[in-house]
Amino acid sequence: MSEVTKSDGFEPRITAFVCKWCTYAGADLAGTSRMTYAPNVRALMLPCTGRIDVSFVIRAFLQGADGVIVSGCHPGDCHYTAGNYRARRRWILFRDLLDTLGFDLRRFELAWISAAEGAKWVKTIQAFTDRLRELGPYTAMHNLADDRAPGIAPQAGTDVLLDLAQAKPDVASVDPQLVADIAEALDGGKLKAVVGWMKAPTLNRPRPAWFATAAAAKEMVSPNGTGNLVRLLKKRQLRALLPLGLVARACEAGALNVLAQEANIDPAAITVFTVDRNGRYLGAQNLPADLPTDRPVGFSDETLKALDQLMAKSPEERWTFWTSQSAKCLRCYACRASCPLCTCDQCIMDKNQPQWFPTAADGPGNFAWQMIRAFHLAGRCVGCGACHNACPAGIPLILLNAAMARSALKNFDHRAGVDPKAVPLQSDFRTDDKEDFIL
Amino acid sequence: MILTRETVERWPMALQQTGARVVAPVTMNGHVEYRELTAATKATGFGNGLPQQSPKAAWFPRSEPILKFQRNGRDWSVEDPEISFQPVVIFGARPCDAAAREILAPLFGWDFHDPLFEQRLKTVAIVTLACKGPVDNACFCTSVDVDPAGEKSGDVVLTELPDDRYLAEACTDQGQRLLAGVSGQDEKVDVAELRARVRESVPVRFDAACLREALPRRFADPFWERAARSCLGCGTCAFTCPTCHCFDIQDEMRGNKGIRQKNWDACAFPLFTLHTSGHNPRPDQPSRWRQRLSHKFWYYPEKFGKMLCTGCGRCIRLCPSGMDLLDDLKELSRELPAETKPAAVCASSGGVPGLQLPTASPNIYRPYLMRVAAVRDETLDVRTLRLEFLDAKEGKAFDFRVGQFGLYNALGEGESTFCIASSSTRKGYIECTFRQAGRVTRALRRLNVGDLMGFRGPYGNSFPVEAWRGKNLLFVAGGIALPPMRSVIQYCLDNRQEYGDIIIVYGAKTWGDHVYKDELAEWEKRPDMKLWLCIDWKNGEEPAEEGWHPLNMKSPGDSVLDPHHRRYTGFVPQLVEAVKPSPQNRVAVLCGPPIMIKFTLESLKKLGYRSEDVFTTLENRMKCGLGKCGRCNVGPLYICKEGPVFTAGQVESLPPDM
Repeated sequence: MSEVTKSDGFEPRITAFVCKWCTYAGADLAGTSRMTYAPNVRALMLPCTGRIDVSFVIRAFLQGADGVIVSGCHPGDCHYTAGNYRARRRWILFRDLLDTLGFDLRRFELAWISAAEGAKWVKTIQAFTDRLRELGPYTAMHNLADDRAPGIAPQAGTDVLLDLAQAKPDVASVDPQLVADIAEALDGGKLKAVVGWMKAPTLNRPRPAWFATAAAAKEMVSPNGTGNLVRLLKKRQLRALLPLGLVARACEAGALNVLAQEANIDPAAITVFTVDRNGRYLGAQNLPADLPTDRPVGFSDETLKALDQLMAKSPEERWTFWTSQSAKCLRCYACRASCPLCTCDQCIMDKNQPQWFPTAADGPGNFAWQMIRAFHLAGRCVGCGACHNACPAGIPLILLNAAMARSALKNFDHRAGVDPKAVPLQSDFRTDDKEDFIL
Repeated sequence: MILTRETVERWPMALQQTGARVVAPVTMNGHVEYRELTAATKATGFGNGLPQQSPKAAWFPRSEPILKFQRNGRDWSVEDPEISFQPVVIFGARPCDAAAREILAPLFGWDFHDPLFEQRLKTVAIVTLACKGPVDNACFCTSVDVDPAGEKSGDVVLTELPDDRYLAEACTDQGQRLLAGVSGQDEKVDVAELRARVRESVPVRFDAACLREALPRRFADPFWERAARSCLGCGTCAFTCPTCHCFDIQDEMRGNKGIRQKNWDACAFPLFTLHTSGHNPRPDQPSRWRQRLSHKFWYYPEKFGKMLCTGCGRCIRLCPSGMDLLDDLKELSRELPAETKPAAVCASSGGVPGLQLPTASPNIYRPYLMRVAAVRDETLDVRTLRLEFLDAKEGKAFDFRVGQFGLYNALGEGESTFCIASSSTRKGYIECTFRQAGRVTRALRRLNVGDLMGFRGPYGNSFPVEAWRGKNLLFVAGGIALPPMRSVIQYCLDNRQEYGDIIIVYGAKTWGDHVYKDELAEWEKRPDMKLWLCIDWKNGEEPAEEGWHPLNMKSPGDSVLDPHHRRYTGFVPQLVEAVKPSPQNRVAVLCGPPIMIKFTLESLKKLGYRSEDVFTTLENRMKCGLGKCGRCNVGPLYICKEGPVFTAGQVESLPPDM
């Protein structure tokens, strides 16, 4: 039985995603024990906390929830052995993402509640409801939808907070030894094609390409373009040209390592020609690639400095910053298309049965997309900046990725793309993963 | 009129005071963007290069509601969205951006007038700032007939004079009104020489006429595979282009309320043309890149006389993967390859142009509300809905010609294109037969008798049934392709005395896959027509079901057919050869899966049919049905406008874009 409370008209709507084995049974116990608690919660039962995707939470807020609670079995009690350990990793990362965005974390609650803890369920819900009553209705996320002003470019001056420019490098000449080695590998039939850079003549920019003959390889230019060559491995034409070579800077070698970790490529079929950041050729090797030692995989100093600047702002300022940034998003998906690690065959944004997120290029859908993108790259992004440089709207996408990378490093001592044999961050767990926010 | 620099700088503020929203170039993070000015911000990017993105959102928003609906129990109400068209002035637009407005106008005003676009066109005024020279090597406006000096561009043109003043000239009435609000000196200045110098500074980089000739000839060229190697399949080129206008239509529900909206779409996306069946007419980036260039420099000029490009160069500058449009255009127009086969036909003469009826509301995207009057299952996954107009007046006024199609709406889920499956001779209702495959058909399948849905149409051309009078007819269909032909069959049966003998050949995998079984039984019994049926031949196995006689598969023409037995085991082309319908004074209508069409056409040729006597109805993924959303074209032909009815001769002359 639930207690009907009277307040000054506002009753928060709480969506609870709960596991079938513990919390749902716990809530049942509370009911059958005739404990009273706030009727504001709608519980959705899922098999396991491991099944509760962050997109559920995002969608709940977009659809008008004032608060979301996720709850399941205590660590060690999972019916499926380790679903809740995996979920815990996810929530640690996701809370850091929400914090970076300036989201009010008081509206997102997590708890371990067993089947025997009906009383804890009651207490948790009661406290959460009281807190939300005090906070008032949550409008930040669905207000995004009301800010639509079709036809007009966003207002000037709302999105300038940080200066993180996009790179636009010119073509430079390439180390002749690199071309010689590639020509030899192609001539000798050791490789069918090598992915590298050629010149786009109009603007004298490097452009990704592949070279199937030694003669063609003469057109190769220095690997200083803004994209990531690993992305091209998604192309069907290239998949037919194994064994392949690839001119790899640290970011490309790192991305290949991540793909190898996730079994998305066959390491034996790829040879990497590694190059340091000055364009100096280091030699050819087979995957998994050792990373060039002159620089760790990861983010530039400017990026990390900009992230520090951002995190020094108040959550409200961060929220304003990100909403004005995401309002600029055109949904051209250049970020997704240029990312070497966006490997899904069908992106969740393109799924329409059901339609997970709004398709319109404005507030809610854009915001959801930026969150999903950053989260799916948490612990995977190697900081190549391809997305950041690709964005025609100039959204500093790399900041979200950097925030996630920092969270992975701080919480799990995980650096993406360093060890090709490592288990991917979000597929793994440790029983002693540290958190201090789950009730 | 001559304006001082100060007057020009203050002008945006003055415009704002008249109640207009002013969009102007603003410098931010090291680049220039068009942004709406606030009271506190200035046009800091005025005269400062070319803004990174085009201002097209001012007349073609990224997302724009076109319909609102609300569910009340089982009923729905539909209304047009309220949109406020506040006057907007784009201040300091470059001539290439100003040119886009005129280029797009004919498309959205072409037979069906898009009210939203046209209303915006009226409320958006452009104050152009003439260029002094190219921004970089990617500028190629002079190659596509856009004037960098901006003469007669936009509503008002500002030309910076050597003495730090501006010449302001009104090009339209709206421009006159804008200029009336500013004070300047009336002084005659000759800028012809200045303009000539500007034009000279942007070299013509390719021969557009040669390019237009080359594109049809190089349709199947290995060039495309090479050119699109680095294409990643994002929408950057299309979304930053001032003239790219393709759009998607999507429904969005929240609770009981929903909107239908137009969103920008891009031909580089794999989903752009993907059929629900999994077939994609443009399956890879080379064919998508070819579509982009052909649309801009071949199809659009052919239809509207203007290239769909202003030479701004944004797609070159912003491509994350360094795709080089200009280099590709140069290479395409460098030399004209020999004409290997006739270029695609320009206009359809096969079908008869369809009726265009006044729609109930000026909103061309608004559907009629229809009530489901009957539901009939044809096979396990194919269903027919009989629909009646909710508003009897609309129903009375509604007419169509057989072969036309419409967009069937599951409100809140989206629209799907099907041919109207019933004949125009059967008044008071229309029928829709569909196979459950995607989001919309799934929602349509959930409908019960009495539920409401939407219908938008009729669109496209139709079968020339009048011209067929007195002729013998042959209808050949395979599987789910009988529904698009059913309307014309019913029409001819309802006007039986007008036509000679009628033969129908219809096959499907199994008897279970044949649709309209009741009607087939009726047709089998009719003495004034012959219906031949077949089920798939399973490699010499015994006929799967009783009553299905085997055909001679090796040489089907030698099959001995019992004239009283019309059910056979074999494939449609073989059955056609066995039936041997004489081509004498006969037209054939053919529809089915591509493989069936291919072999049946061969069989018909063997029997002596001329390709102009064979008709078919094509389908492609469509969003608008009105010739605007830019995806259903096969080469230069829009299925929704010049189709869906084509003769086999026309289909053969189309480029391989299906």
